[in-house]
Amino acid sequence: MTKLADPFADSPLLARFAGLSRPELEALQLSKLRRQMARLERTSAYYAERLRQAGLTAEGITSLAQFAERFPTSSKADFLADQQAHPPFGARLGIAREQVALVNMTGGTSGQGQETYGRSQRDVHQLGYLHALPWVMAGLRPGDVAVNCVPAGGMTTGGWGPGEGLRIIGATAFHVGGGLSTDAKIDLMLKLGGVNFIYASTNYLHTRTAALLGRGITPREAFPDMHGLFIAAEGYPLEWAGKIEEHWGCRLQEGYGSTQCNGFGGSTGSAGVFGEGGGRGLIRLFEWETLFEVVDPDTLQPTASGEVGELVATNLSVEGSPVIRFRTGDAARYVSWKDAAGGTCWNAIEAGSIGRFDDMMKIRGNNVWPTAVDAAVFAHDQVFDYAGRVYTEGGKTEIEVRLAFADHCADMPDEGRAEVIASVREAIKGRTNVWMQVVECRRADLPEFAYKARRWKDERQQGYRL
Amino acid sequence: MGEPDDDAVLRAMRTEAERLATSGDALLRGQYEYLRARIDALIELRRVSGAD
Repeated sequence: MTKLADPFADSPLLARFAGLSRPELEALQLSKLRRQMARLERTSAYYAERLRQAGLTAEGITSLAQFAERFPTSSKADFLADQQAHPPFGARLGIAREQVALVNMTGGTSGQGQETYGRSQRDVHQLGYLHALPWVMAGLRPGDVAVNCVPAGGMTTGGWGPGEGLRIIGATAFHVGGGLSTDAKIDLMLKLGGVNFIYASTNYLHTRTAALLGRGITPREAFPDMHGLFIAAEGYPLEWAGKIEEHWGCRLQEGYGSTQCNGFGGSTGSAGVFGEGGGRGLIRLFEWETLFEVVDPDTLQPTASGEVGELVATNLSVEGSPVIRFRTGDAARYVSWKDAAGGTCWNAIEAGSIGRFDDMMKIRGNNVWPTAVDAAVFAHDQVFDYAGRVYTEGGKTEIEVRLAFADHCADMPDEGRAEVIASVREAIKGRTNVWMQVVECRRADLPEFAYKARRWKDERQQGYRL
Repeated sequence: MGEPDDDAVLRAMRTEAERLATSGDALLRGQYEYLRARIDALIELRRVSGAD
């Protein structure tokens, strides 16, 4: 496997952030937080009111702990109500409306509504920086050929950030997401004469890899110059990650990012998605740009290292539509810097297992996260993809998982298929404590996702009819 | 009186940006080159004379 350039040796600036002691990092965060809140106290009616509710002034913020204890959190519902009262950006906007240089909206996949974010010119540069940063850490260098599989442009942060990031790194970027079919993207990549880096959602890297293998193409042979695969947005099982690295012959990297972070808030960096001993690796958080808390979603008290909690984000320098103590709804396993081997004082979250608290389905008394089913299904390399459905029949909750086999299983006999289906069913039960009906379907019957997959439908309410 | 001064400021900024763009920092080099290119574009689009 190609050895990655050491990002800390190649970037003195990054080495300085890595060399901070924890008290030095927290002093930097406190200084940036005070400056941010002093600005918002003057420019944002929404945050000025929240400071007032907390009985605080920007000058009166004495510590990060005091701020976390007193300043109220905001949620998606708060932002949507603010936007409705003060369209289009809400009173949380921290700049004059005419200074908005880029408008981003969240994807709308939650079904609750889309948050609207106004970015200043400075924010747009930071948006690029917060994409360039994890990719430089992942080995991307000026002049490298990079293929961005995430649909570009439009309204989302994910549509604009990669373009800005690749541009300011100086990479040669092909933005193939959205407009081309998977086969057309493969054909284009094969014509490029060398590709060094791919950025894709977890789901789409899976689709791309399966499509290559289905055409009899071994990725590491077709793309021998590839030195980085960078994924985001969805969890995955380690077995899958291992097979991806084997098929491509290079490291798999992961980032945690969001519209609210104005790009990536952390990444695995050169270490990749595997930790020491072959377990899950760590996403190191870029805490000098985003202040992260990981809290119990019920009590809002800090989560202990090693436990799963909700990420709460505070932008330390975003000007346009900053989030301050925003409850992301993202569920992540927190790992304190003290427990995260690696030599920096950056806190971390576990790679590959980030989920959503609001995606959780209550099924027969069990809390079931789609990521848990993903992990069970995709631990089987015979499976191409799947779709899940929860529904009510005769007053009983039923769960159906329809899966399509990968192309390399085209000649698999029925007995072999039945064994795989039984194994998937067992694995799902093992991870969720729920028995689900698992059936085979054709690949064409499954929806294809260019970015974030939405594999589950909860149709239980439709079953309640009189 | 403003325009000639703007040109002088941009030329000075170009010199400084050129210096930054020689950075050996992998994270910053591209960003400095981006800054220099923006200044270059402003200098060029303000040119109204064929004289160098």
